[in-house]
Amino acid sequence: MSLPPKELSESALDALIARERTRVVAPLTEWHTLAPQLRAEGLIHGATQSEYTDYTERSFETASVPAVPRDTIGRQVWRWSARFAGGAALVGLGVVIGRGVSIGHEIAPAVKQVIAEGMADSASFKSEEQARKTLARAQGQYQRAAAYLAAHDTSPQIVGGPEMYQARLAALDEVLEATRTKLRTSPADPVLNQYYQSAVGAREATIQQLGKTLPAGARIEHY
Amino acid sequence: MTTDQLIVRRAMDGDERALRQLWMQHAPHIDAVVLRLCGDRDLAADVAQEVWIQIFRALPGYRGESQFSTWAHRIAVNRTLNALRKVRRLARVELDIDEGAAVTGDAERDSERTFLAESIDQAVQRLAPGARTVFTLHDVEGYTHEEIAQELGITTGGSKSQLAKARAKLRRLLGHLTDVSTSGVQQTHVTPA
Repeated sequence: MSLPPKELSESALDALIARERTRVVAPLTEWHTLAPQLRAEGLIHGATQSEYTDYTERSFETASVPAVPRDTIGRQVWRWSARFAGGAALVGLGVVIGRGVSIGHEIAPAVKQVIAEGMADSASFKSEEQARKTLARAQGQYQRAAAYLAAHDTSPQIVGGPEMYQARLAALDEVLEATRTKLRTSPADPVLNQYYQSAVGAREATIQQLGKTLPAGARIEHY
Repeated sequence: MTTDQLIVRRAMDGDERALRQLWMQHAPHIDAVVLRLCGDRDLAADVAQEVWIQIFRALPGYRGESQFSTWAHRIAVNRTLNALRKVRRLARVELDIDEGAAVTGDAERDSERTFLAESIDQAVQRLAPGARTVFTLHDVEGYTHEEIAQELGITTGGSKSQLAKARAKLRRLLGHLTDVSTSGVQQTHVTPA
């Protein structure tokens, strides 16, 4: 005589369903396959993000230089300095997050150096448009480099278990929450927007990295 | 205007960065819905591509009356169900009910004893396509039986019956988890499947 099979209780099943409801998966789609189709349908306007890499310094040099009213120069220098500082800090954040090294030992001096170099180089810009394109190009290159390293870098610094990526996700969540809170009061702030977008990208890359560290049969439940 | 509304506004204007940001923010949830309904990962990847194209095609019609995630979620479900109809996985939902009734006997219970699902996700994959769809739509996605009946072209009674059978089978497939405390629900990020 066989025993009747055990059955999960209704409440336990409901608890599992509740967890399933919040489960997310690593995206099944990839932007580089979506974007061309969206562009073909006219849903994306303007240049592709990757086209920024096609710009050369020579093309910047031939760009026209609009006159800038003297009383606005100070504000603009501050604004773009702050923006560059934000970008540099983002690089630092990305390096901290991506490489898992301490701020105290390596990142702070590196960020200072990047900012100093950036301020020194800023004199070579001849227009706001030129600087904006350079910034966009640098952002694109940074994001592509980060994505490449996320997929290919096997150096010891980034090889870690799921715990490392979970800790990184927790840190990124804090960054996102703080940025999101500030964006509610300053939605057009370009520096905050860059932080937010880069943190979202870093979070996405981390989830993908986390997925690669899982043992066979394991999965990401939610984050 | 909130940040999300600003991003949506820019996306409506064809700003690639904004479109990409919407995709990055919502793909983990939207693609999860697609995967649940499709069951098969390869099929889900194809359907998810179509879903996202459709979401962005429909973006000019988004009025902001609900959260973007809710609006996109509804499109994802509709588009996925359409895609499944095309591959005939939902063509005979009603028949699934009858087939389910015919095989839910001792023989099937015996076979279920040899298969212990390690997660509800795995167990759901053991359901017939129609039962999986009804279960997913009702219990996971929160659709009513009336909405499900309309979406799938079945009766509300058929939907309820399908759901009852799906839940009964899931309880059997997951019976070995009876001793597992609900603390597992609190696990974050990673859970062995």
